Amino acid sequence: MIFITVGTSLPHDELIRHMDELVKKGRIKDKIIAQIGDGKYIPKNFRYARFIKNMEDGYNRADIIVSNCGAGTILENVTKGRRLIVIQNPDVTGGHEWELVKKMEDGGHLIWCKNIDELADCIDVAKDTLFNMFIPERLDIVLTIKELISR
Amino acid sequence: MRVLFILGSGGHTTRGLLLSKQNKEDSYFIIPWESKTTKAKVREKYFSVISPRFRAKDNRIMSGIRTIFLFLHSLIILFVVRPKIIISTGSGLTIPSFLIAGLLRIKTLYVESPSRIYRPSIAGSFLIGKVDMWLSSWSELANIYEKVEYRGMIV
Repeated sequence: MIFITVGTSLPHDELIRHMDELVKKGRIKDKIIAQIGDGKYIPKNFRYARFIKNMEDGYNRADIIVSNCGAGTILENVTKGRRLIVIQNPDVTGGHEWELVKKMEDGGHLIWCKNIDELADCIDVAKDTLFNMFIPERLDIVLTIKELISR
Repeated sequence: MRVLFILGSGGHTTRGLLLSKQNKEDSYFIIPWESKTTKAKVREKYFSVISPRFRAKDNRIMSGIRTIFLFLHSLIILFVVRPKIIISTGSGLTIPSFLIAGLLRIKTLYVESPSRIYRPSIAGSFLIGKVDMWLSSWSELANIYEKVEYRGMIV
């Protein structure tokens, strides 16, 4: 199953429409589930939901996750070593998410699909790629608050 | 002791809530009035405020009026809650509360988005040197700015 998610802040119609066409043409044969947010484009060839309460469940069941460049989605998945393809949403402010995507791509934690026309190829590559799990240090807020109070 | 978290939408909210779950003190929240998803996640001890700019672009006069309104609203909330610390994960609601906090001797903690590795966000760069603690999720940013600290990532 391929799980597509656009996050909760901005829709990504271009991605959903393109995926819908790939399925219609038979280029992608996998089962697909999409979380489309407030998107205007409604996919006709796969199941979708606007918002999904239990994203973790979707991620766990997916063989491949296709997502926009939201830092939350990226970190949630690379820290679990899941197969993640990231595609940029042109509507996000400033394009600063590239920093994180680039860093994660360099570490072999995800596949960065730079052009929507390459999405189908990226999915093929993702199936045969080993993804490195990203292991960050955890911010301890209890210790941090203690130190902040004493300053 | 009361800790006030400033949430926003999407990732700002997710990270703020992750921190609030770790927090052993009493947590309060400021959330954007227009974000239903954030409201559904917080449920209690929150104050809804109107954001200076909604995600969609609109005219500057309205956003100016909303900014002034947010200052006044934040001032009232800080007076009512009287938190010891305010924590922001970088939402657009941050700056008014953080500037007022200095006057009320409330400690401020800013945690930059993990999507910022080498360059801080606009709100983030404005607040460097103006807060009690400015944390980056990456050591790279802490190596560039003297007043930026690295203590790990919100996970």
